[in-house]
Amino acid sequence: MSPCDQYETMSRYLDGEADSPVATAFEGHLAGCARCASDLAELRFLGDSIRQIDAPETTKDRLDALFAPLDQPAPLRKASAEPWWSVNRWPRPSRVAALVAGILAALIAVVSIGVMASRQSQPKADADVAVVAKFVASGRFNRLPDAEKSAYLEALGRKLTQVNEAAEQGRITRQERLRVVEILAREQFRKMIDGYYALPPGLQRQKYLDHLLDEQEKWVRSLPPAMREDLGQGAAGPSAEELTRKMPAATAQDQARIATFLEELKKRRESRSH
Amino acid sequence: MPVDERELIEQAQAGSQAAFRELFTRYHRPLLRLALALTGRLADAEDLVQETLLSAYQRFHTFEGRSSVYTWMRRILINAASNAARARRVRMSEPLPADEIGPSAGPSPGAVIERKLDIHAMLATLSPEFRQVLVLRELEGLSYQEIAQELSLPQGTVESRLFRARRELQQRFSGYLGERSRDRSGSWS
Repeated sequence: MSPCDQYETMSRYLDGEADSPVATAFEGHLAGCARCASDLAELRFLGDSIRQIDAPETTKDRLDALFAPLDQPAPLRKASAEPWWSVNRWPRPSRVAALVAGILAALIAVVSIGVMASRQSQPKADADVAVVAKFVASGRFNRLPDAEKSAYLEALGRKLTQVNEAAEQGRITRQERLRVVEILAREQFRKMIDGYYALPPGLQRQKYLDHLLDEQEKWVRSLPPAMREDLGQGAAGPSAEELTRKMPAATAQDQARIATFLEELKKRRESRSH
Repeated sequence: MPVDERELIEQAQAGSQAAFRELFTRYHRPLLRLALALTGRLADAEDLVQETLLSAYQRFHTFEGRSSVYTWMRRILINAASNAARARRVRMSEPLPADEIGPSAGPSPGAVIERKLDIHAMLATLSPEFRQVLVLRELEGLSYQEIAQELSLPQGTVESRLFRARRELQQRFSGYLGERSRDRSGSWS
C-alpha cells in the first residue's frame, strides 16, 4: 500500500464523497503517484467484485417455501374499513372495561369447566391427525366457537396427505374424510369472502378474484386424488355454488353477501376464460 | 412509485396476502443478493430473507410510504443480519472455515490467492460491522449519509469503517488484488 497517507481521502474520493477542492487535490496527487493510483485501481476492482455477487433466480418453489409459514396467518392488521362482523370494528375497551371483561371471562371459564368435564374430552389441535379429523367430522366440532375451530382447521389444512393416509389405513372412515374436506373447503371459501369484502370495490377486488381463482385451482390440485374425488370435481375443484350449498348463511345479509360474491366470481371466471 | 405498487400496498395493508406476496416477489432477489453478500452462505442468506419476510408481513401495516417498499424491507433485513451477527459473535481476525464460505464450497481464505477470486471468502475475513458498511456502499450504492441512517450510526463512523474495511482487505490480499486489478478481463477466473 502507498505510504502517502492518503487512504482516507482515497476512500472518500472513490465514493464520490470528497469535497470538490479535496477531490481536485487528490487527482493532482494521483497523477504523480503510481502507488496511490495502483491502490485506487485495487479498490475499484474490489468494489466491482462485490457488485458481481448475484443471487439465484426467484422461482415459484422458492417463494412457496418462503410463504409456507404464512399459509395460515393471523390476518394482517387492516388499515382500511373492517367488515361489519370483524371484532376490530368494536370500540377499543377502556382498561377498566377490559379488566372487567377479563374477570367475567374467567368466571365464565370456571363455570364452563364443570360443564365441559361431563362431555367427552376434546382433543388438542396438534393431536394425532386421525383423532383431530374424527373430531372435526363430528357434531361436537360444529358447536365450537369460530376462534376455536380455526386452530383445528389450520392443523388439518397442513396435513391433508396424512388425513388421506389415515382414511386409507382405516383409522378414519371415508365419510369422515369427506366431511373434513368439505369443512376445509367451506373455511377457505369463508376466508375468500372475508378477504373480498375487506377490499374497496373496483380494481382491487377484481385482482383479488383473479388471485382466488388461481389459488382455488392450486389448492384443489394439491389435494390427494382421493380427496379431490370427495369434492366430486376432479382437477377443476368444486364450483363456488357447490361450496355455498354446503355453507349455511346465518342471516339474510350473509346470504346476500355470498350471492354477490359468487356472482362477481362467476363473472370474473368467465371473463378469464375468453 | 408505480400506480400498481400503490394499489398492492393498499391491498396488502387491507389484508391481502396475495398482494403482499406480489410486492415481496418483486424484491426477493435483490434482498437475497444483499443477504448473500452479508452472510457469505446461501443457506444463511435464505434464512435471513425468511426472517425478513415474516417480520415485514407482521409489520406491514406500519409501513407509511415514507421510503420505498424495498428500502423498508432492506432495513428489516439489515437489522436481522446485525442481530444474527451479534448472536454468532464472529471475530474479525478469524476467517470462516472453508466449508462455511460462499454459496458453493469454495477455496479457504488461505487459498484465495488462487486464480479464482472468492469474494465471499475475502468478505468473510472482515468483522460483520465492516462488512456491512462495505456491502451497503458497494452493492447497494448507498451514500455515507444513507448508510448512516440505515445503521443508525454517525456519518463519521461510517466513513471510518469503510476506509478501515478497505484498508484491511488491501493489506490482507494486496498482492492478489493488485494482480487481478491489472488483469481486468472481467471474469472471476
